[in-house]
Amino acid sequence: MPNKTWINLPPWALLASRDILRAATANRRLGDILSEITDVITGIADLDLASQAALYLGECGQEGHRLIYHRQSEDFSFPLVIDPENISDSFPQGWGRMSFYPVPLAAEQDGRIIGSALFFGRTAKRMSAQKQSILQLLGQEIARIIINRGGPSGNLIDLVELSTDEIYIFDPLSLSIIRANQTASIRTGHSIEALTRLTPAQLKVDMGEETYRRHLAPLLTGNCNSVCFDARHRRRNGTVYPVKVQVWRIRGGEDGDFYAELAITTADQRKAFGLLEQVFDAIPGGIGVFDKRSRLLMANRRLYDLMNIPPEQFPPGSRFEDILRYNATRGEYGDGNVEAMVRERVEQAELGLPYSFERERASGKVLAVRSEPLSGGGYVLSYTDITLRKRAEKELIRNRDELEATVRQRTAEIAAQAAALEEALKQEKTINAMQRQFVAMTSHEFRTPLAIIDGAAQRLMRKKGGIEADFLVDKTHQIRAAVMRMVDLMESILSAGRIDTGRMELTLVDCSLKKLIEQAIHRQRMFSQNHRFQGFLEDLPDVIRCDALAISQVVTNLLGNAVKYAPRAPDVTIRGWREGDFAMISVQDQGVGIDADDIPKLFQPYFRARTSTGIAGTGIGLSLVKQVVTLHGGDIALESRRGHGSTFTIRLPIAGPVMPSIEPQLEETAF
Amino acid sequence: MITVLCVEDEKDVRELIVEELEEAGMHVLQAENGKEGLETILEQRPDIVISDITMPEMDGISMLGELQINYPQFSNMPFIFLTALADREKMIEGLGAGAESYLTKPIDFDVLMAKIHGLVVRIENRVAAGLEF
Repeated sequence: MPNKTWINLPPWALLASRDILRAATANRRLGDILSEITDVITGIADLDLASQAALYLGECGQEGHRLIYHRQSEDFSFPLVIDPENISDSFPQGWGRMSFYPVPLAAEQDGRIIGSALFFGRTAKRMSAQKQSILQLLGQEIARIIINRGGPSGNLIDLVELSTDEIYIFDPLSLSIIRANQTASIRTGHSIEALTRLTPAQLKVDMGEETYRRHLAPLLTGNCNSVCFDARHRRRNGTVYPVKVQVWRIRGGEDGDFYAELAITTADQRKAFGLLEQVFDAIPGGIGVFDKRSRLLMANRRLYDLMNIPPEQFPPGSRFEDILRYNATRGEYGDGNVEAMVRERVEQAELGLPYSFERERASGKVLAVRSEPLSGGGYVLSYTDITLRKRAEKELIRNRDELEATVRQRTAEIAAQAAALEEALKQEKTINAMQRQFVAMTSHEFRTPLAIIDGAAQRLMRKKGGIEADFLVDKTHQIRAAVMRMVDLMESILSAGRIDTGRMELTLVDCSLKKLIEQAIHRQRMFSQNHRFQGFLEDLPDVIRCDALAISQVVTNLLGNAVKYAPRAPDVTIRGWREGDFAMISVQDQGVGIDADDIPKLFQPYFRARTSTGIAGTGIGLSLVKQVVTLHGGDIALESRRGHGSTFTIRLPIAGPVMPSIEPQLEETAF
Repeated sequence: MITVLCVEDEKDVRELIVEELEEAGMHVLQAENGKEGLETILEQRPDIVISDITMPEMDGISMLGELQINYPQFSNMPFIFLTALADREKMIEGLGAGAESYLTKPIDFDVLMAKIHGLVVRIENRVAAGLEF
């Protein structure tokens, strides 16, 4: 059998053979046919086709062999398109590392070729004559199986009906469809009857009647029998799929010619398109493909959900600007001129540049929108719902901010602690220094009265000539005053110690503050004969409740200071008055005064003001005064300026401290 | 007659020293603090100075320092510190300032007077030798 014969078969014949297989599929008989064929093939062991071969049943037309069925081979990626020009008479023919063997499928009875089969396999370069004849027999066998199972009638109308491609037979002048097959109805979604009211041009996207007629022009001249072009069909539901269109001119005798359009969704295309649709629908985000004129080519369901637009209103073929206008009118893009917002968006989409942005919808949903240009014009818009991610991001940012705040707070706390420790250390050092100074000063303070006592005693012993009465009185006086000074000094140091360790307890009695102060002034006069003390005590309350000894010490201390720190200013004024429930005492001198920044530290134990330089003192007197006054529930105020003297004012509650440290004593101490 | 200046802010202490010195037949000048002491030295040129350290206005060591720096003609004048500051550091400071002696309180009059007599002998010898007037 000459091989060329089947290669040059009219395409209808090839179509028929293919459609037989398709019909079998519809009748669920393809599986049977194929399993029989497979049995035959696997039965021919020496062909070495069993394990590796792919059976390639198909037609041979203008565009080469098209895959109808194949047994899977690991060595091939199907589908393959083989140029018919390359199919020669000789076996085998090379295809990469493989060889293929075209075998016509010839009917046993009349030798009619119903199709062809290509056997692929990794076999020897040249096939033995025996093997070739086996393949021929195999082709016959396959043909027999096919014919037995459903057999082609050869009738055109049957072929049209059986075809699994869309076939439209239409009038060349009006373009109206005379007949459409079942496949056309199934694929487009229109009923066969509805299709007869349409033209093939109307089924196509972006193709007007004129354009369609232009495609048909070569047929009108009679120079050729068929034309081919690519187009896209729109389903009734608006979705779009690509087709390869072949239009044949069929001579119809008396009725004149009519045309048949064969809209082929090739298996691979169909598969790819179906796959694409599945993939689209599997994508969690919304995807919309737009052509260069911003018409929606394809969209998945999610796109409609996310853009919140009704699918029936915006099927494929809808204009992007209509979708935008729909949204803009609903206020999705905020306030503003609707047309301006639409135009702006369309212009950006059509720029052909990738872009992306995030948009919060009126519902609060956050969308990430991304546009990627397509190489042939047009663009793919993808919408991703990032509401949760945004929420998570916000949460994350909030957590981070909280963490940072915590860290800052902790750092500040640590810094504060460090500062407090440093301050404490500094204070400790200051206290140490003050205590050292205190010890030195205390030693000095004791030595001075001791020097007087010892000096006076030595003088008594060393006096030349007899000791006169005056001399004796004088020395005795000096000794007693010095002893008194030492006792006071000792008292104040002991008191300070008691207060420091919290052991000081007040012995509260009702006493006359006026008498107490007068006695203190009197004592002070004895030691400080160069100073003048003036007391204005008439306005004091008659009786106040206090620890008389402690308050006496306080007044003595203040008087002593007024003398000590005013060596050149002899006037000391003591005032006493009443303010509500409080007795007030002030001691004013005209002495050295105190620097403003020393004042806050003045009542700290051992602290000595800078103006006290060269004046002996322990630095405990005023701290003692402050503590005693505070224990009484009163306070002490100070007004002073360097070189302008000082005024200390004490405020004591007349009724004594609110919480007396011990039970009030019954007896009254007389002053 | 030898003239001694006693600089002391404590009146009772000063009195005791003055008594003792006068009883020993010396002419005694008195000052209550360093400032007064310095003025007295410059005006009356005493032969010997006995000075307390802790005093208001100007302390004893400052007074001696002032004298050494600004009035070198008095640098040979014997200077005795008589102070209640008994710590070693202060004694070193006082002697380092140029004092002849550093005596602490309470006062041991025997020691003080021995020191004074020693100085008096030295001064009289120098005068006799024509070194001083």
